[in-house]
Amino acid sequence: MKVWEEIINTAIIGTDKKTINAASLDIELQTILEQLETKDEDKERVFLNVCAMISNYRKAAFIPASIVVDDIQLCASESFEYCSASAVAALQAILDDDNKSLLNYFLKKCQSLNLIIPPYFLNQLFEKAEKEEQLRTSVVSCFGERGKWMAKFNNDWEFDKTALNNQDIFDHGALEDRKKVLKAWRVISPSEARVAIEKVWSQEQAAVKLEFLKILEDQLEIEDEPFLKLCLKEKSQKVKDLALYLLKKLPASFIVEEVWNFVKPLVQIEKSSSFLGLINKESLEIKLNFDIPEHFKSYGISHIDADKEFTEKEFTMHQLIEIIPVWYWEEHFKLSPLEMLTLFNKSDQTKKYINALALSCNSYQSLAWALVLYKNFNSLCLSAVKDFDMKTKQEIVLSEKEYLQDIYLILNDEYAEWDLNFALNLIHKTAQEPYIFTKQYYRNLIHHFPVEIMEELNQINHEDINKQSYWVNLREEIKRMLTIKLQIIQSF
Amino acid sequence: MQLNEEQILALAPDEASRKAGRDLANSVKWSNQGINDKALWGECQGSGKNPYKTQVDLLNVAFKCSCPSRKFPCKHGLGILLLYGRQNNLFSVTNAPDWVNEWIEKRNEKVEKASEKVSKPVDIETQAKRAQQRHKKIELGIQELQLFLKDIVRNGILNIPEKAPAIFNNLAKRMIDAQAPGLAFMVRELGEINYFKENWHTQFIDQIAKLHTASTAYQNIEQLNELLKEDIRTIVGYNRNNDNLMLQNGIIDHWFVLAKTIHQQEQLQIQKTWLHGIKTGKNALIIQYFVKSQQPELNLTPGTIADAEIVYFTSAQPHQAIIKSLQGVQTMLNINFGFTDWDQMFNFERNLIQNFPFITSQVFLIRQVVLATKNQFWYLKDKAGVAIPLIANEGVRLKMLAITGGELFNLVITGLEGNYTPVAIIINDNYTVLP
Repeated sequence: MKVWEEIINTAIIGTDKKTINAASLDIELQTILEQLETKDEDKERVFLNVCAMISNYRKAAFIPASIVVDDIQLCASESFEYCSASAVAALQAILDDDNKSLLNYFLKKCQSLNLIIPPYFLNQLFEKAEKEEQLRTSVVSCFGERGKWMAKFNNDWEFDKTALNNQDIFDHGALEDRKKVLKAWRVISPSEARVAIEKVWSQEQAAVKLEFLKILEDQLEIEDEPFLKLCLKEKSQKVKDLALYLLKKLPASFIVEEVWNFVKPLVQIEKSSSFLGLINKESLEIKLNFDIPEHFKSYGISHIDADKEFTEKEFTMHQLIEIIPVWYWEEHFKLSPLEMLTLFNKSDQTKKYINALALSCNSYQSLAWALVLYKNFNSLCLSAVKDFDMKTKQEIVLSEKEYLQDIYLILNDEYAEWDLNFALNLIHKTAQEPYIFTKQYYRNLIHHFPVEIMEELNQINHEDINKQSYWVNLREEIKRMLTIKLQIIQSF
Repeated sequence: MQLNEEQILALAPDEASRKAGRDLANSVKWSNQGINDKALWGECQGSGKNPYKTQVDLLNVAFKCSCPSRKFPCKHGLGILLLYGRQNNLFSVTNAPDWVNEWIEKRNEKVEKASEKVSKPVDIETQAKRAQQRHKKIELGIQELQLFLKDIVRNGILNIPEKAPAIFNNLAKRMIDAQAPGLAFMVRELGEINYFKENWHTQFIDQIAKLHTASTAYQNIEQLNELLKEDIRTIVGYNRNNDNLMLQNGIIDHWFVLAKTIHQQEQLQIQKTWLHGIKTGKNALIIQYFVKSQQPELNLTPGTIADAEIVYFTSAQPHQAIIKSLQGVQTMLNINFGFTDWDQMFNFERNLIQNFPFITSQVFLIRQVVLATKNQFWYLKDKAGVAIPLIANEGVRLKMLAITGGELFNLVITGLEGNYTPVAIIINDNYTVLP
């Protein structure tokens, strides 16, 4: 509106220096302006009169600008039912509490019953899934047609599309996104992931190479060997060290084979008889009168034990045994893991190497050896524990404070509900250390606890008065979260 | 009456109460819960020995609870209303216990007393003398105000952002001294303009024009008709007398509660409730003032329909009103009222402004609009194909998309002169407040 611009310009400069240019106004307004001017000599008052009149005129004359707009495509109708009103209430309680653990639990329930979430929750769920990748699959499965339709209006919410464009992301994305894609590929097809790395290897910086190599640690396969060998010639020491580490972890790699061929003749089973030949005895003999080949040093084999626990030769042998996959011993001596370990345990000289065998077992994740090591030699190989049966895993968790902290790693079950007995035992133990097992610990695990535990919680107390009040607060928090869980259960 | 979750949570005084209320909307926490046509009640076991007795007046939503909380409503009030909204089968329809009946009776007595209240005899001579004194004071205040406005336009408004808000706060204090709180409020609004915004000049000039009109009109008040006289007196800061209004006959209608806002001004909470008469097509604004720890006398919930008699304050453009009596509250029926297109709404707004230049931001209901887009901008298109820009942040826009799915919907908006912000969406009889 031209006249309003004229008023603004006059107001900015001030009536002392500028008056309204009447010629710039419409004829009708000019007439009104003349009337206002003749009524009053005071130019400030005249200007204020004009402002009042034109301000009202402008407001009363508002007409929207004519614009042709595009209709948006309608959302398809839903083929699944929405979850119930009480489930919606439970979902609201979960979102208010910002409880990821219970949200996942809720979404899994919906998913299993083919129920979808009402539209007014979609924005919140999308935002959560955007931040928490592990929620995406569950969210996508429960957001129905409306969710698919909504995703088109926000690129960050097109989780499905992201999956289709993995190659594009790997070629042009940010490092974190590229790593995510590579990890996913490595799980589906280890060779494809390696080939993808090989293609871009020469263009990448050392820091990126290091990150990509770390991803190869999962699902290592003998086909990786040529590439890892090439990596040993890299300029970056960190890249070379990591490639060497991977080759030492790769069964049948040239390093593992060389070490095995060197160690094999040094370890022998000696048979002897006693009691007039009626009793035969077997023992393991490890010869330490060896000199390792010079190039073994480039494999990171050291001869100085910082802890002074081993002699120079023993320490070298210890490191060599660590590199050898545990099942090589089984195959070589045709003995079971228990028989093999029993032999090692027979003398003080060979007993020392059980730790090296445990490290090897951990590295190569041998379930059979890990079970024997845990049950007979009280030695836990954490990376192999995930394959133990649940009862053993629960037993392990309850055995040590540090295992309680590593509970996710050991139990390796994201969703299952624990039996009441285990849950109670766990809380009895964790309640004793309320400063270590804090609110966040229980928030992460709350979906595993059976709601029946709520009644038992009041019986758990603390002798230390300082810790008791802290525990009581924690207990109330656990009960509050369990109430939400109960609400979820009752809603489905 | 059954409110939806959003409507109930909109009653909460703060976020903490909202959260706590939701936690308490759990059947395990409640006992002896019941409902009748007037009230909803239940007992909630808290940290004390005896359970808290919580009751809700369903007619004119009000809460009472025996808990020590000073919030209104407390978490128990919200919790029980939410629980009823989610699982009404847990509430037996029965006679209310004595503690509920007593409270409801007391509330009814209070309302009756208020409607029967007749103004006490006053000393007319003293009153006239006092009115004359106040008039003189206001006139002096207006002279000072006009001098101030003239100084501003003479020197130019370029440097105003550097001086605001101090110069306006000082002048507002002078207007208070001159017993013109209405003018003081308008002056203070000059200090609250966002001077970092590109179009602050327009907002500023509109406001000084309004001050100039109000002050000049007061100087010429004897030349105005009775209706305008009342309007100008109110704008300057004279109190309106509710008691006299209660004696007048009002308009009985089903009043759809379009929207409700609460904002704070110093120690006071100001609640504005916008109503739309379904039969009469009239709009009404109910304004209530209360201190933070209390609740307003009337608490209507947006999206519901109040069967009520309302009386407008005397005005050239009757708008602000009081509720004389409230017969009942219903949940929403089919929306067959409100504006059918933008053109109709702009005509209505134009008439308002022409009749009464002091009109402020309004609330409107427009039916059957749809979200549309052009060059990455979003619009609200009516059935006639006229589109106006959607003024909303991304969160609100995405929520609107999620709720509507691209379908036609009814929209409650607030604003004036082309700048409208969405307040709520009504689709399939569900009233959803937009954040």
